[in-house]
Amino acid sequence: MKRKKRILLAKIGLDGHDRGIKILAKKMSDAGIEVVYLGLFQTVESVVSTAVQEDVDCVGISILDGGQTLIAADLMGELKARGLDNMTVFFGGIIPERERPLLQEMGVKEVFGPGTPIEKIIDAVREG
Amino acid sequence: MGSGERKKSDEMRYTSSGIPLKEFYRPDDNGNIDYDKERGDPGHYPFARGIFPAGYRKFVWQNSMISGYGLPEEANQRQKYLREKGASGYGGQDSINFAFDNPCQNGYDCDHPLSKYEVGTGGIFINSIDDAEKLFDGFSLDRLNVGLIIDTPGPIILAIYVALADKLSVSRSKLRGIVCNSPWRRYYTGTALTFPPKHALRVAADCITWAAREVPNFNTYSVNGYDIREGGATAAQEMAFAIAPTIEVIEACQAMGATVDDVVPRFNFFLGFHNDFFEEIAKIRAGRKIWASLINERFKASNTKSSWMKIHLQTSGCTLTAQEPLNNISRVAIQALGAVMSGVQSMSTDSYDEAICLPTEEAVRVALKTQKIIEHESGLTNVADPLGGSYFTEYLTSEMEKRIREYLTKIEEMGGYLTALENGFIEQEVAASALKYQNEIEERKRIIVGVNEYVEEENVSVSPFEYNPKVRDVASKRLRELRDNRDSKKVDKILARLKQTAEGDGSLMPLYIEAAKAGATMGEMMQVLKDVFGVYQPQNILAS
Repeated sequence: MKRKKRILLAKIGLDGHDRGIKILAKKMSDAGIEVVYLGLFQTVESVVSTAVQEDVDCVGISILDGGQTLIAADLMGELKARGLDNMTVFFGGIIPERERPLLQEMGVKEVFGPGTPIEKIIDAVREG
Repeated sequence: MGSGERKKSDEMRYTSSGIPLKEFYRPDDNGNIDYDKERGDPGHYPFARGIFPAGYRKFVWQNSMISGYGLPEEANQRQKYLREKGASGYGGQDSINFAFDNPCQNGYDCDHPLSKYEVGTGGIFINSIDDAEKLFDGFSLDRLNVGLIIDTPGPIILAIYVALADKLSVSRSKLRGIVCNSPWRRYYTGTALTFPPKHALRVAADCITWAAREVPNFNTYSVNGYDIREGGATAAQEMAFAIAPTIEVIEACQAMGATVDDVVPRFNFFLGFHNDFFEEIAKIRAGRKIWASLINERFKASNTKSSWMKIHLQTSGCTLTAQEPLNNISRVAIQALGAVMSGVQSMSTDSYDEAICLPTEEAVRVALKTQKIIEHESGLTNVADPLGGSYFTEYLTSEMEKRIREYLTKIEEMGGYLTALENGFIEQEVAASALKYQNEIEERKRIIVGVNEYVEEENVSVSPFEYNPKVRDVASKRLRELRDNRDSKKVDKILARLKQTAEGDGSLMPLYIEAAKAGATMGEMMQVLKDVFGVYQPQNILAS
């Protein structure tokens, strides 16, 4: 039997806006995805260590306050350093469309903006 | 998807938070309302119809446009731009309303490793008296109404502001504005680092009681419903979860020797206005009445001003859509119109691009002018509480009052707000409401134009705001210079005294001011408090 998809969800940095990511955690888990919810105030190191320990298939990072490109650079670098080059990474939140190609170039698989149907995100996790 | 799938008219209808609605309302729906006791004329107890008899004739609401980004001088330019475009406070004073960035909200200076991603991205920072001086350059502090939207480090930020006023020889009694200073708001959605509850309460109450004597015209506590509402709460939850914690705050101030009339006139509410027009108006009318009765009956206030729910209102950021951003101008206009019809004292209107980025200059100008259009073109400033007496408005006001009171009673029965926080009740309630709202959108029971109905194939985007990428480097360099040039021994001595006082029970405010004048930073003072008090761990509660 195919094992369930596992995702780690977290906010990196000091941004305390967690309405969206909490809803995602709940909806994904209802949809049969195993969710490791780390919540607020995580660092790149805490996210990557947990990703290793929990053997997740993908990582989802939620951002509201403008740290996306710096966070992506550090996160992708740390994943690479720990040999997780193939980890699927999703970003979501208040991220201008113009910055999305740059994030994808850095290795973020997909960026979900406000108003994205949750089903679409769940499908992406199942495929990722 | 088109209008063909529209709901049948015989279907039951509800307000946004679930109050069932009839097709129309009649006098007998409000048969039991004793006008004088339960509503009162505007300016009369219990103030359901507003706190001023003349409504907006004497004082139009203050334009308190929230802003903040980048270096202090950049944030200063945005405020000057707004002033130039007509933003004004009471009596023609200048009005500034600053959001703080995440590092500052969490008590970290710009050069702290954890500040790496967010210096100046979601608000301003004030690390030192030098930052404050740059931030307020060109504004006379004795003619300024300033909003400092920051909680746990709020007392230290106020102290830096007072230190600046002293330096500029501005009388402390002339300082006006508000520091949010809530010990609680940061325990739920929108969380930032704070101290364990008992210590957080002491730090906040110390600021409130000190300020009542030293900066008597400065508001020192924001009764905050806005953040929890944006986190997903319903209208009734917003009002209840704003009012409930003030009970403990007032009691903490009393324990420090202040009376209710010493401190409560300097409390100011911070509320939101969402999409359900009449429900929001009912929330505000009911809230004013509940507040007045709480302050009078429970705390036996004798100063009328203690019973006034003074309201700063912001339109709802979370109702804005990234899809077709220009549509948000309509949403904000409707919300602002309702806010004015509710009789608020101060308002910040959101910009149409806020679901995408920080507001651009153009977007913030449109938001400000929306207020000006309502003020000058709608005729709404002539008569107070224009919806008073509407069968529907009065009915909904009573219903909302009932629901808010139910929550207040429940919290009281649990043992007070602190218990309700610590046992997860508040966070659980908000998470459940947020989930319900999202489910309604997913199931298309709730239509959001451009998101789940009338969707455009191609998104019409806007040109987003661009951050200055050098903010953190410049700010860190300035901190290095500050630390190199100050009398380090003197700073260390004051910080040691701050530590001693925190370990005991003396007032902390005078020490923050002394430290700020000697060149100590916000982050250094916060570190002292964190070392003494410890740090509260957020709960991360999901809807069950």
